[in-house]
Amino acid sequence: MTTREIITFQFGNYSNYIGAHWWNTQEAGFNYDPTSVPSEINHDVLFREGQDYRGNVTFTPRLLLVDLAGSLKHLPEDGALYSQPTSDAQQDILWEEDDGIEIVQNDPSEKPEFQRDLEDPEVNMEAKTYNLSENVNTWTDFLYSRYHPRSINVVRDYKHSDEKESLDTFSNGNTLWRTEMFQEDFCDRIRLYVEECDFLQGFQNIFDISNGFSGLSLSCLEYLNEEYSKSCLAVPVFTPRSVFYENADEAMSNAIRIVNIALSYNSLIEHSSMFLPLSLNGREWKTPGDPRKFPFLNYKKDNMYETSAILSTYLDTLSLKYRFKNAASYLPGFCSDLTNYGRKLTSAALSLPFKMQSQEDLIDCLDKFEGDVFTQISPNTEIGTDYVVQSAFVRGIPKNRLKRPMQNAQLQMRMAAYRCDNVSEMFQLYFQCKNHASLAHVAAMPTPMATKLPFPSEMFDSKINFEGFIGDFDRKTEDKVLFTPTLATVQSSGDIAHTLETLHREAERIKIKKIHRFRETGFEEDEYEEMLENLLQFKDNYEDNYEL
Amino acid sequence: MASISLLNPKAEFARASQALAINISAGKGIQDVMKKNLGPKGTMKMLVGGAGDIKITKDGNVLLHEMQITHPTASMIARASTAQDDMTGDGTTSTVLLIGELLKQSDIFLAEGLHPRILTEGIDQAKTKALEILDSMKIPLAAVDKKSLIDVARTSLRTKVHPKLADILTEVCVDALLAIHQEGKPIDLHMVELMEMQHKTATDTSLIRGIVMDHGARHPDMPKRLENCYILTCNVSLEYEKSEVNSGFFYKTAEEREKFLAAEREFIDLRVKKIIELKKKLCDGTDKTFVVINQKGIDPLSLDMLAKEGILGLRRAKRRNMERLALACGGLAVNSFDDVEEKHLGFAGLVYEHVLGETKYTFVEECKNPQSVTILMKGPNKHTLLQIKDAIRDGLRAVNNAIEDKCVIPGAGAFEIRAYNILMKHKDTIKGKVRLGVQAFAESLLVVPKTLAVNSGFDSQDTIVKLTEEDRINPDPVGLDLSSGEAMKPVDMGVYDNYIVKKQILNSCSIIASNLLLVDEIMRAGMTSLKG
Repeated sequence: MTTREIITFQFGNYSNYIGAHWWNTQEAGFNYDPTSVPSEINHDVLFREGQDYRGNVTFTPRLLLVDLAGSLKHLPEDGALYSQPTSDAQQDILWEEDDGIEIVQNDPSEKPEFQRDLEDPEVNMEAKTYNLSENVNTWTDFLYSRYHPRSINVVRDYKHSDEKESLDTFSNGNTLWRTEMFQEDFCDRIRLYVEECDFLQGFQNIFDISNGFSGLSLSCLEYLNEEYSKSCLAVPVFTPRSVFYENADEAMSNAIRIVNIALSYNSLIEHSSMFLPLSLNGREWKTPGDPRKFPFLNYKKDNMYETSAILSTYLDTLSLKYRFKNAASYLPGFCSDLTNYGRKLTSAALSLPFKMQSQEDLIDCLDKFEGDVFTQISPNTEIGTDYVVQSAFVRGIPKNRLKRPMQNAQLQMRMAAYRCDNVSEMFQLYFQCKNHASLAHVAAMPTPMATKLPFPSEMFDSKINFEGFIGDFDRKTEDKVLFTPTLATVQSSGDIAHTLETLHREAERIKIKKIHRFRETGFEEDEYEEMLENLLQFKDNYEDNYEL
Repeated sequence: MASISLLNPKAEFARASQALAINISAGKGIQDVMKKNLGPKGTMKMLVGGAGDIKITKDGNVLLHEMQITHPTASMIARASTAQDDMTGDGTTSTVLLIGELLKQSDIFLAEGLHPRILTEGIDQAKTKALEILDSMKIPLAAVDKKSLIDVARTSLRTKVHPKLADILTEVCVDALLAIHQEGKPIDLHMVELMEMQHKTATDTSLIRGIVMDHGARHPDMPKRLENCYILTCNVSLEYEKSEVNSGFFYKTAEEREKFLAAEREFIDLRVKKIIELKKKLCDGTDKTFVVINQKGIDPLSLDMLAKEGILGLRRAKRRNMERLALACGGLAVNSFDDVEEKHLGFAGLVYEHVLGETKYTFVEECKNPQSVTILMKGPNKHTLLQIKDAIRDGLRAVNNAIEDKCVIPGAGAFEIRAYNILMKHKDTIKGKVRLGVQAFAESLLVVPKTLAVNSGFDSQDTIVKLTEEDRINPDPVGLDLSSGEAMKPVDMGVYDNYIVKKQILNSCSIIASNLLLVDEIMRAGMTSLKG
């Protein structure tokens, strides 16, 4: 069976955190044992095989990421995988040998302990505690995956800072796209990736929405549509930390934030095949609201490392829909299923870990379920139970945990779900019963997600056992959660109209005239009015008088 | 107290002499940083980043960025130098030096109580005069004279890379431009492609009279080398685009879906068959071969059909390469395969593939009259390639400038020396204190020969005295010989600069320096100061 490739984009610092976790998780799932059963995941969808200059085979993400100068810290821009030792670099400086060279050395960035140990085969990393959630300063600190030299793009015109956003506005991002770096080099890198692919499915684009990366990313999406006309799944993410923009006080920062978000949503309607905003805060727009609660998961709400791990779990699980060996649909189909009537804005929900007792069967688990199966992770969105179109993926529930065999099934026999022969059927039935007039497509895979280092498995509640199920006793402190069952779904329903309404209401209050920085980069007042009008029109797509 | 502080008590400000001092010290500071890099004997800076990234450069703008200079005035000067680079491709270091020197010279007069306005008036007058002098020193170029172009390119490149390499690159740059130059038409520098190959050494950089593409055939059975090739460039998708109906709600399994899709492929097959038909018509029974270069995709099934016919097919060509292929091989890029005829096709004597690691390169060579060429840059590592690339860009610009200006200017500081002498004489004809501005400007111009001398290990005063003296008695322009420290005639030595570069430097430097001198209050009243 042919592989249908996807190219991934990551724009912005938080997106790169998420990406780093995501690639780590995928590589943690690699199986190097040739005798074992091959994985159900087709890794070639997101990864590519290559060869470094010495002829060694490499397997790297088909990825293009953008971040600001200073965010890579110890990681060289070419990703260090293909680089040569620096010693012979000295020899071919094309200049006079005798003191014609002035060496300006920046302070070398110290590699964090985790990265040093990765290079040292002697160290047993599983036995050590790194306390990454406290120590991680940037995404490269916990990156296990190695990137292709083509992947990393650093913007030099803006400096990265944890406190201040220097690439501030949507329109600034647009301008950045028009620089030579993106027009020439970046576009060429896209082309090289596309050229390698036999059957490109499309693109997935993860980007920070609240700063200038939104503009950059949307310009990129526009370009992709024009040049390749493939499906683009856009995933705007909201940074958990509230960050001030350069030269802006709190009120100004909030205003800029809303404008950026509104402008992004507006462009996403036009340029993406589907967009799926992710945030761990219940509300976003003006100021972040309370964090979403996951039963059996304790995370610090403004910790970039931990929150990004949760969001990456979602992406990892959901994306199995189109990178799974027996996938029923690819990216274009996946997007079009969920976006009838132009409902391109969708909503995400995740269950991590999927709540199931260690000795329980799925049939009983679903039967006894109270409350929601999953936690919503799209901002300002609460999807109800009716008229929901959803597409879900469940991983980590083994076949023998579905139901008991006939002879000792007892009560289970009486349940309607007993006739379901596999996990996806049972979930499909469950969603049918739970939601009125709804449509659900569920796919499943028995292998659970690996949560070994550098995944923050310390987030799991002490009741969760090493396989990720709920145990009767507390887990011993030295034991770690190694796997977890997960469920990720993407939903669309009339409730999203409310999301758009809140955004429109907030955006309408902003006096764009007062924010000079937008005008400085060529953004007109009329465009803002037009955008507001557009959002309202888009909201109409979600009105309930359509049939499903 | 500044009026701003009534409105915003937290605003920071600096007034009058203090403001001036800030600007002047910034100008001097940045001049100090860049000074050592000027000219063929100046130093290179090797920047080693935190993660061990290496960058070797003399480019003022890159340096300012990398060295994290955040002073607002310094960054304004840096921007002037970027603008200089955008306009002309050379003279960035000189710009920084001249602005710094203008501020420094003015400082002397300002300290004695001269009003900045009068001073800047003088600078402006001096600039106008200097431009006149520049015009008078033009050496016109006869049509396209290869020797002078080589001299210009060499002068520029020797300040960027090692002389040995500079000579190779000079040859390459001039040949490239001469190849694509057409009388009476402006040159499009994009028609010279720069292709990198991380391989061998920098001195293996060469000019390919044709096109080199950084991708190759994606089918194992396609020919690796073809001679006498027809080249079909097209922008037609040969990739089956699955319709959006292939929804997960309709198909239970992947097999079911694939079956449905196979039926829809025929459409694409027809397109491929058209190519094959054309190939058969033109090539069968001759020694000719066929190459398809597509801007859109070609899927494996189509590749397979092409490979069976011995056709080489390349997909996803660079958009700009479509235009360049037409210029190099003739023919034109087609958007549909209906009615494609021989006249639409290009022709190349040789097409072959070269594999390097994971990258394939396809060379299209032996074109009849290539109007688009490729410079193939080689180097053992990324930073060397980057350095060569920057150098080649500047070299191409220098040659292009010379062709457009239809003239050159004697280099090695000759213009600065001559302008100094004339301005110093001219200043006596000006009435009042304005002449001090002229004097400041004249003195400042000397910073270029002075720095050249210092960087080559000679005494600056000694050199200037020698040169100005020589210039006075000599009707021909006199410059500095960097190897002996003596005066020489740049025209004899073949040291030429671009007219437009010098002109641009004079214009932008005097404007920026004047602006900085006229600043009497600097304030910072951003919102950030309210935060704490």
